[in-house]
Amino acid sequence: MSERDKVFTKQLKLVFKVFSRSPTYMFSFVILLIYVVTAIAVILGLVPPLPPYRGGWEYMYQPPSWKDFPWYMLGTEYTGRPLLLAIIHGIPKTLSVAFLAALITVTVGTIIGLVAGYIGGLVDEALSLVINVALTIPTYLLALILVVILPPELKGNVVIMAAVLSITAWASLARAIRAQTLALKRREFIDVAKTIGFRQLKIMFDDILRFMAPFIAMNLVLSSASAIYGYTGLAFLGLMPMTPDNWGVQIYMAIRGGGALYSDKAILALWAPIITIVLLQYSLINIAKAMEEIFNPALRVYLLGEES
Amino acid sequence: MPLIEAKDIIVRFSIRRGWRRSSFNAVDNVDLEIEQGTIVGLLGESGSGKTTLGKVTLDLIKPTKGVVKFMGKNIMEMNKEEYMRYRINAQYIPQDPYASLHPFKKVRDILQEIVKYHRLANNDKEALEMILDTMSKVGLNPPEKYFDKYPFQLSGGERQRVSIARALILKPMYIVADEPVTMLDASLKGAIVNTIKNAIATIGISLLFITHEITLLQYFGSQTNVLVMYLGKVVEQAPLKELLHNPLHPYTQALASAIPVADPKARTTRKLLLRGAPPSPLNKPPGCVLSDRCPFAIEKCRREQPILKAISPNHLIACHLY
Amino acid sequence: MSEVLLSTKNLSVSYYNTKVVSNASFNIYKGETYALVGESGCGKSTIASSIMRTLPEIAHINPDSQIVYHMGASAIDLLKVPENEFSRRFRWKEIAMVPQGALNALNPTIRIRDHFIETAKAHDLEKEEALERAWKLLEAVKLDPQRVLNLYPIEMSGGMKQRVLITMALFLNPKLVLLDEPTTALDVLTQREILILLGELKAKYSLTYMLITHDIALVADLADRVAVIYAGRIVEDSSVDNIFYDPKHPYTIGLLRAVPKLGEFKEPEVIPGSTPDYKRLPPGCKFIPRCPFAMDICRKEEPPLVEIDKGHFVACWLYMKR
Repeated sequence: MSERDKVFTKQLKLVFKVFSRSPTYMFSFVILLIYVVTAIAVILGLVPPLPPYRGGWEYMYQPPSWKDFPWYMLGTEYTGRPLLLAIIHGIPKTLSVAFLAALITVTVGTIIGLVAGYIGGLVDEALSLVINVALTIPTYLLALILVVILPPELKGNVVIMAAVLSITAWASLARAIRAQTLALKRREFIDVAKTIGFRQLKIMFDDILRFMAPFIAMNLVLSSASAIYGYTGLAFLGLMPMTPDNWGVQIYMAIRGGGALYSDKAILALWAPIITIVLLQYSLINIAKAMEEIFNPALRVYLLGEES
Repeated sequence: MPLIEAKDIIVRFSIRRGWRRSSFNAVDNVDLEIEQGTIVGLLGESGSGKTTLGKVTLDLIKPTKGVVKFMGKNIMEMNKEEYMRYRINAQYIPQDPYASLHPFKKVRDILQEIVKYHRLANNDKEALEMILDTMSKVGLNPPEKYFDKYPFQLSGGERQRVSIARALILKPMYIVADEPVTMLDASLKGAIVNTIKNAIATIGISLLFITHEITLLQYFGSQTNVLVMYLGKVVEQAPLKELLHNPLHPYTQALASAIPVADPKARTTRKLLLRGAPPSPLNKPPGCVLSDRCPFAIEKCRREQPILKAISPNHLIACHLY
Repeated sequence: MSEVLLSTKNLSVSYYNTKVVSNASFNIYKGETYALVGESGCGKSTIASSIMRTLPEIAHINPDSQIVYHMGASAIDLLKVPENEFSRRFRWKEIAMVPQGALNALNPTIRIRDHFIETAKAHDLEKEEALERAWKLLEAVKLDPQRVLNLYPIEMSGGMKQRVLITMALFLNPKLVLLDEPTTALDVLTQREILILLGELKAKYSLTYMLITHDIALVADLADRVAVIYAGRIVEDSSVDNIFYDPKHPYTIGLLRAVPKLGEFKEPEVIPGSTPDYKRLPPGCKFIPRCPFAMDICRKEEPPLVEIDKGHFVACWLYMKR
């Protein structure tokens, strides 16, 4: 095994050990794993495609049946399609929008925060102005307007949606990163990094960034959770194209079309997507907590027994 | 030509208190010269400006006024190459062993990244040899034992040794050690100072040793030139032996008599020489900086700042009594 | 002066399965200053915390240990007193501690006056009486009560904070005061002032001091009797004169030699080796890896603490016939 392979297996062992320390973490990890594996299965075509639309009361919100096990276990939704299958089809898009939005948010936020904090002066003034403006813009209102303006073809595009959801989300992270950078700038190891002759870019993106790695990792996961809320929220408000594989659309239709708040008929179609979302969010939040532990070298040493 | 020359250095800091902005001189008109291969001591308490002055010589702080020269050339007028040469040759050992190392990097990472960044070695094997060699020079023996450790797994003394190794690996001509043993146990101080001493002797490195403990400077020899600072000014300057035998400035006398001495019989002979506490740097007395606490202060002291002048070939003093 | 105020018998403390204090037995006499001296991590702070019963949850005191406190005619084993009685009758009222200034023992979010008021409330003292007492104590430590009571800790210098911590220890008129590194992180002149102040307070309030420090020079300044601690064990216990002018244990001798004397220009003397790893202590005497006089018997059996001269206890085979 090469040196790099050895290091990689050690990281995996560490991640596993952190997660196995607590049943909550283990549970959350498994849930996320299930979601990811299912998403991959859908993308690879291992899951049957959704059957064609069948309108009419005989097909809408039918109760669960054993037909075509397991797809009709939750009955049908508003287009007559099997509910479980529809939800599963929604996973890859939701996950990709969420992770991509998180990636954009964290990357933009970190870079702007780091540069503003470390370089200071006019650069800091300019960037802080941008951050403050972005902070004052109401995020969801902006996302709403953008979504309304967008032509429907683009609304289905993962990248576009991720961009819309992260358009102002980076700002509060940038503020936090800037504050931490300002504090770290004064520490003695930064003085030494300067005398060693490291150039600014290296000090910023290696030394200072490494310090904030646990914080950034945690934010990556939390931003995903936030993006999922944004994405389903926009659909719930009826602003997204009415595709059956969108969980927010499912909830929207269950209430509007199925009268789920007043009768029992569409109750499964209301709760199934909600539980899917909540389960995912719960797992993500726990994993965010675990991120911090993974990045803490003291804990790492204790768990892996690195005494050397 | 001296290796490092700092002339007429003034470092002005300003702070905001509510609406008002006030400023003070952390370093107030100081000259410092360090010849190649020599050791200079900078003695003073907190607030004296000693750390600021040290950092000015390393270009970590830009002076408000004054010039810093490295091998005769003004560092502000250097081109990229000259500045890089200066940069590599001026290294720093900070005070706090806990804050001076990156907590997320192992000892090997800390040293390896320096070697790699500056391409000090031709291949990995040579780099490793260099690192192991430096580590044993600073007393981290056997080096393999410390290689994969994170700073939190090391004691304060071990961390300082890593800091020293880090300063040495570039083989600089000049090192500033800012209170490197203040945060260590009394029994460990001598060991770390010894490490620094031996390390610089082998390559003839110049050292600026900043401290508030005058007894530590004794390890560097009786002829070590020492500057005593108080509230941003140099109040006395002399070789160590002369300074201990014949302290002229009331502040130096107070310092010398206040040091704890490992001798119970010395108890009764120690009294306090200065009244009160050092003022805030914003409220420096006009005139001589010590005038509000000095038992010998005369009217002139309160009005006029004394100039640092030589009363014998290598003994300078800034005091109206002389 | 020959009345015992506090004595420990076979005090042993472990953290999880690692013993950090082993069979410490000593006496503190009324009116004296007794010092525990040793390197960081030697167990001296653990002993102090055991007396104050402020050890963390994971610490375990051996049930055979005793800490006997003499109040008037009675002798009470403090370790057997239930917690709420201890905090009501003994902690702060009979025995108090001045913590290390550097350790942020003051609450940064409340003013100094509120620190006193909170303590008063916890001990059923009226607010007015509390403030009166605080006022008198602040004057006794040479601070301006009018000003200091309204300050936040962050607005005070190191010396001021140390003095405030001293007043808080004296607040409920204790008989025994534990001083944990009272002068670390303080400048030389401030250190001297605090030491003189501690002497004055001791006389004024008829106190008994237990000093905990790594600085042997500090011990020479303040202590009447000294216990030298290594690896959680007392290795030498005697009067301050004996410790300094007739040290017996090789560790004591090493500690004394490691501290530079004013006016001596020579190489630093280092105690060879490094601080012990408590998880892997050698059998026999724990000082073996660093002792220049190690003999065969030292490797096999741990030497007991024995009185080899009047009032002079040593744990070393060099002084015992076997």
